Amino acid sequence: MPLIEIEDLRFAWPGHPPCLQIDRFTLERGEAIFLHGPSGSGKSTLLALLAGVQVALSGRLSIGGTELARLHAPERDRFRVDHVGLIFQQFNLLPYLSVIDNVTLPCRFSSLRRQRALADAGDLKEAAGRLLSRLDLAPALWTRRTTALSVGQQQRVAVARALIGRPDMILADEPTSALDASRQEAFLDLLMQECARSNIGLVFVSHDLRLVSRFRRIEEMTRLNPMARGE
Amino acid sequence: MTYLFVLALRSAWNRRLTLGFTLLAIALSVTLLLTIERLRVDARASFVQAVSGTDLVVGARGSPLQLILYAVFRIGSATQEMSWASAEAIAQHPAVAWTLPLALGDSHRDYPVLGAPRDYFRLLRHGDGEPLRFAEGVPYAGLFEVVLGAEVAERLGYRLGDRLILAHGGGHLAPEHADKPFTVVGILARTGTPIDRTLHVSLEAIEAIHLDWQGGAPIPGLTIPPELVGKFDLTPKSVTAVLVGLKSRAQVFAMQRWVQSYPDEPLMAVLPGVTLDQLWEIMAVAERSLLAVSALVAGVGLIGLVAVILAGLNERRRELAILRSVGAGPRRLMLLLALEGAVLTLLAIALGLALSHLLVLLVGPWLASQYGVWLRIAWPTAGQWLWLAAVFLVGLAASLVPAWRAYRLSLADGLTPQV
Amino acid sequence: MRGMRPLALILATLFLACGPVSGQDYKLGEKIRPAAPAKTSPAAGAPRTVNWDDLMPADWDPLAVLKGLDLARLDDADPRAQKALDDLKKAWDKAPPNRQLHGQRIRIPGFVVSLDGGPKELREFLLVPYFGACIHVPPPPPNQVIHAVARSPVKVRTMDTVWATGRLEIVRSVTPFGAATYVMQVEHVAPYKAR
Repeated sequence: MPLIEIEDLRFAWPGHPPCLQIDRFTLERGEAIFLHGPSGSGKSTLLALLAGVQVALSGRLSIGGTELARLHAPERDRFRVDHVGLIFQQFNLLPYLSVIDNVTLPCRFSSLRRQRALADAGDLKEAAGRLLSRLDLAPALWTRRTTALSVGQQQRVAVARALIGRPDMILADEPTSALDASRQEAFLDLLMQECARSNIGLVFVSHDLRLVSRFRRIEEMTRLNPMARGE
Repeated sequence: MTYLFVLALRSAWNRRLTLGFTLLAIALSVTLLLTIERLRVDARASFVQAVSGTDLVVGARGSPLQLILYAVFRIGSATQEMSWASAEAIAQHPAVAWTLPLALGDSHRDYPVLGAPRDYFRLLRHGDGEPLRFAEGVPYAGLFEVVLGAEVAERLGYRLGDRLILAHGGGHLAPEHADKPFTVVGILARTGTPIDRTLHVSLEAIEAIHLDWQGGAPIPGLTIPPELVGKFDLTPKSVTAVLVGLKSRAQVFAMQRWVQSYPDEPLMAVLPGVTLDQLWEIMAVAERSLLAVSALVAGVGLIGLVAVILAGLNERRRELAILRSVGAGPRRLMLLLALEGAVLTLLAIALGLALSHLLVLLVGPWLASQYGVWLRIAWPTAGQWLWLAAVFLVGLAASLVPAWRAYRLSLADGLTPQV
Repeated sequence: MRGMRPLALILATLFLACGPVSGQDYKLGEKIRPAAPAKTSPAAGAPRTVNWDDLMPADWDPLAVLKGLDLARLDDADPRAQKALDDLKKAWDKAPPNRQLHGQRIRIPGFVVSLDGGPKELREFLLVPYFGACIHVPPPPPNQVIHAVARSPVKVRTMDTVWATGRLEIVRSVTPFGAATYVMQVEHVAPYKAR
């Protein structure tokens, strides 16, 4: 069964004509896809729908066999934290928590991810530490406030948070846009490496076509979504 | 979810500077409310207890309230004296059961000195008909003997047998009757009334120390040593007031009228209960206005809290989006914000309560010695609980404003706020 | 002691002999207004509702001493007016109580005059028939004053209008202000509403 299955999906903001229409889209488990397109093409909307933050007008969207439209809002919230990791462009971290506490955040809200994280580590701190080490973040940084880290370091902490407890998929919305050109590739390598390791599906949204080479599957948003409006 | 609660605390701690100031503002207004309420209750209690069983207070004609305040509570400026002859005439009136003439005017280190007959200790009642009790010693018998109120003995550290000097009038520059020291022969048990901060001597003693004085100053060239004083007639010539107890309390009006129309001297007879009731009326108006102002101040503080949280909400949209991404729904976030406001209000109330206790500790002794009002450190009164509850409820309701806003924002923003 | 002088002065000036006193809208010297009629007839053994006139014996007229004087024609400064007033006072001092009420349980409305300094709760107070018992108004004769004694403190203030219920006793007095006074052992005090 594919991880993501979309069929005849239509979405419109209240009081507006439909802005998203996808006839068919699938993503397999562990598959990584590079999604690009101009502003207004519906990238953020698709991510919002995949994350269960918005609900489609019609059509089918199921993740791991669960149809999101059938869930109530609180159930969708729960589903999101259980199965989806999220990485934003910047400001991913809560400024008043330490690095470790930021990473373990999803495990505090999802018992499913907590169990999975504890499956191969003694406690949450250890699980978080392992991820951070693999992402080239030294232990000295783990107890620091997030404001003390560089942007690149913060983004990698965000990756660790998205990965902990092995969700089914990760949605990344322009995660490299705030990084220096020299760091972007290294970041992407780490991300994809970890996703492959744990068989996590990756939807990578970006406008930076230089990163395309690492992906086997590339989609252009205006092609996927005929309702896309240009700038 | 308890972790959400932990996050709320950490988040608030992160913004402690701005939140701290609004917290302080609310706490201070709570302190104001509580203190006024406490003063209201305790001031009444202090005043209540001082008179019991006294039907009339007689003095020279003037302001009834001033007489009561001065003669009974030793507060305010001195009243005109009345003659000893009139005091005797009243004492001999067939309707009168007992009288206690009182002489005020001297002091000792800011505490008033009361000249009273020895019967004072036997006859006087305070509180709910309580008689005076001695913690140590006995009433004065000899001329230069003094009985101290509990507060005076405690504050100034006097024991039985100590000697002290009285001063004429009040204030720091009062001339002293240095050549006639008094010996402490008794210390009264605490009463919670102005009795505690009074020194008691006999009427004859007051007369004795003023023998060689004229118009408030020692007569130059004339000093009468204490040993020779006994040879003079020490009957007082005038007194400040006379406390009167009647054989039949229902006849108080008739007696009052008799005193008012006394032909030899312009006198007035005051019903202490009635006069004090009138005082409470005035005080009630002042209290109500003060309470209204304080409530307003508290309201302003709470509005400030709401404003601060609302203002910070914009910066926290990212924070809300992150929380949404880990599974917190809009309703949970609304709860979070409301909880934040509620907890802050609660903290402010607790701080205000603590500050009000501190205030009582710091200001209490001064208030007691200056104005005869005893503030107690006690659990909040019913009135105070009401105010605390009111502040909390208003704070809670006010917190719903940013909470609602957070709800709407997180709904609208989803995962990608336009920050 | 020091520094309170201005405050004492202000309070004193705010204070005329009677000062502002509570008491709905009665004027000085005004008698208590008739009560709202009782809704049901009293049960047997219930206290008897009386009014202040009942406290005077039927054969005693408080204004008897003024008979024969044409008060309207008398000038204030006229010595006869002064003598009339003096005679009135003397007569009132001797005002006898109504012996029939001795030992009876009665219920009577009146104005409270505080004895002792309690702000809200009193054990003893006086009950008078008219508003403003102080020097500006002639005091009531002794058979128009009730000395009320309560077993437990009552929440009243000076010039509150109340219904007082209790056992009335006539106590002998050896003073020139009256041969006897009324004392009531108060069972119950309730607020009084005029019609």
